Amino acid sequence: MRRFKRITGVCLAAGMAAGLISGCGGGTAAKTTTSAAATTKAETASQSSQSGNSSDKVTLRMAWWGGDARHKALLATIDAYTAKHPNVSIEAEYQGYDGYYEKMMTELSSGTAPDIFQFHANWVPDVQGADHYLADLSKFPVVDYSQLPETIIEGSDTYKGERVLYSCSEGGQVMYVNTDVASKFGIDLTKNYTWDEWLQLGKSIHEQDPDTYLMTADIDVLNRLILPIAVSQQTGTSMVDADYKMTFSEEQLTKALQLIADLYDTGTCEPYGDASVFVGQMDQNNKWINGQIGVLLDIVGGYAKYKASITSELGAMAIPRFEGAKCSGVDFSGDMGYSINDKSKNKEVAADFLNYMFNDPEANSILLTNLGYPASKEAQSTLAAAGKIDKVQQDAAAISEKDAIKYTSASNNTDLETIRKNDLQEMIYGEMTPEETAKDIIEQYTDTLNQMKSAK
Amino acid sequence: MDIRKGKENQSAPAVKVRKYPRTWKWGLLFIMPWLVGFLLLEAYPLVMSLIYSFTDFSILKSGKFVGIQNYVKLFTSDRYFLKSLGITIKYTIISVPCKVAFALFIAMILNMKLKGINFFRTVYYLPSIMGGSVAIAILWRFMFMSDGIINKLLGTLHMPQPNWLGDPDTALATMVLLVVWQFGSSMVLFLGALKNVPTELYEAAAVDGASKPRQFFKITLPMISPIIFFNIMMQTINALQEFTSPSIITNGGPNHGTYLLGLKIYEDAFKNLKMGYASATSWVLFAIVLVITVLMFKTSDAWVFYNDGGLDS
Repeated sequence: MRRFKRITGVCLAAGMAAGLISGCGGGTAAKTTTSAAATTKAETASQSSQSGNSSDKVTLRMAWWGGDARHKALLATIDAYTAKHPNVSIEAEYQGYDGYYEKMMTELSSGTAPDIFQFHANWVPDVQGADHYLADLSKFPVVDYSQLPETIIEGSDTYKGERVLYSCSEGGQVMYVNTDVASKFGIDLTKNYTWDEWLQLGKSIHEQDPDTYLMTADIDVLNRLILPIAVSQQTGTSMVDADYKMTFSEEQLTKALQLIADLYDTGTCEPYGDASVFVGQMDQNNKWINGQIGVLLDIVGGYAKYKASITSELGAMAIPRFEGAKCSGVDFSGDMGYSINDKSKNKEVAADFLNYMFNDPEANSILLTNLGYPASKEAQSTLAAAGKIDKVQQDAAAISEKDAIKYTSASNNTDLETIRKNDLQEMIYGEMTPEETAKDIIEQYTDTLNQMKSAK
Repeated sequence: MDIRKGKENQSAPAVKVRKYPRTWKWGLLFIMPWLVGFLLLEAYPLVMSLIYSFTDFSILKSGKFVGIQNYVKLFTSDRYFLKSLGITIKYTIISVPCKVAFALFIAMILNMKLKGINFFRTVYYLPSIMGGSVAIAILWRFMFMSDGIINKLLGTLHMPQPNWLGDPDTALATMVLLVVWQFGSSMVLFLGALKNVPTELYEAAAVDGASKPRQFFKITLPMISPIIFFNIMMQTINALQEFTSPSIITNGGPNHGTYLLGLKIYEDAFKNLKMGYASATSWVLFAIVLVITVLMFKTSDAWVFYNDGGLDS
């Protein structure tokens, strides 16, 4: 009996241990098998002239962020591609924007990143600067860059001479307008307001209706859009140049910060505390949905969600400028794109699919503007001719491009953004004046830029 | 069999006494599933995070050894570390007593002999099942925003409608409300403890003329003090590590009003890509939790009453 118990005990323990070990390692084993098979297939595929047309089975993983419309469009694109290439299957990994960056960084560092993934141009320097995580797409002749403007290729897609991103959208910052609110309070969409005029207008609207504000902005909009734009309008260039030097003076920064303080003091902007509940989700702001906010600032690519969030017609207009501004201050570039994991075993096939996504008329007709305002000139003209690009979105792209500049990648550095973000909040909550904030930001910028320079 | 042999051997001085029975290998085998999990998923990351804390390791790039630079930076040049630590301690000091007291209060009500009491016990436990989820945090955000349902209710009652999530002080209070609302687990423990208090004690006290409040303070509280101690300790540890609520509801804002250390560690590690620095912060937090726990154990001798005199401790 005791012997029986022992045997039973051993069996149970062994079973549990095996279950645990297989539970921990099963995934890896399965992936290894897939990868090993995929390696062979990729090699075979690369030997064939038409990548992805090989009869060997290849499984790709693809990740992106977005809303429902983008998910549906990309899934349909995958279906269309795999119908033509039955040997290829693509596993989709999609989600909202929240947490995507963190997930990608973790997956890239652990070597578990998907074969193809959506990526932001601003992330490239940090990632590719750390290691060669993104494949050089120029090594894959199948990827046709001819439809992308040279400014996008050079400005957003290229890092240290390698093409590591294929921009799927282009654009800059623009103001989206609820046209009903505009009609009610006399906001002229065709006019390029000065900031002074804008503040006067905002003040008068809020005085007429205390529940209504001319605009709203969350911390990211203040930090990434309004502040750099207001500084660049005075300097005519991005806040930091390619040599990691500040291009602005303390006075210029103070003026930009004072503008933000005035937006709140005059009641032009919805109180910061109210807007802070909707960070990254301004389209869900109740006041915007209910027509109590007239204007939102965002990139051209954000058009679809703002259009869907209100029942009124959406319009677009230019961001106000300081009098005598040297430029619009808008950063017009390729903002979002797709990259291929340099550690992928199926880069050839992934490149073939990537090219299909952006250069195949069939894919263009499925994707429409769900990946933002298309960067490809071919896609732009084809979709516009077919009436598939909304007139307002075309206007938004044209407005944002006028007098725009291109920010350097150093300007968009995460550490610098964090410095501005922290100090901006303290200023808004009255812990520092705009003058003190400017002084503090410059001090911290100096330290951080020196570190960046020495680490270069 | 082996144990008896061991006893026989004890009488023979020449034979070495076995500390463990020969079956220890079987014991090891039985705990192997847990042991493997612990070593791989807990011990290894723990050791690695300690090593990382002395490096400038970013997620994307292997780091180089920087000595105690990360720890020095935390206390000298990181203007948000001490602020975040202060907010975390404030959050803990407010939320833990509130939650424990509320859980005890509800447990005492549910300890009464009422009709359908089991149904109420289940209902009151429900928030704890859902409470830690992201969905509830999002719901909380919508309820407490400036024109959310809470302010609408207050408006109908002609009461002031604070900007719950827009003001740094009330935002922290809103977090506290959420965690207090998740009182179910503590409540169940209290309920079990209350059931174990011998009724003879109350009967004897009643005979001696003790009032209900006196019975509560002189009988109930001492008798359930081990559970109070356990609840306070566990809730303190959890509160010091809180992450979900500030991350989902306020994202640490406004103006860092809810920037708890758990969130700061996450942001440093995964958003600012400073894993080494975040690891150092984690170890400082670990040390704080450890010191608080030890202090609580030390003070427990003075106020925790064990039926067995605390023999196990």
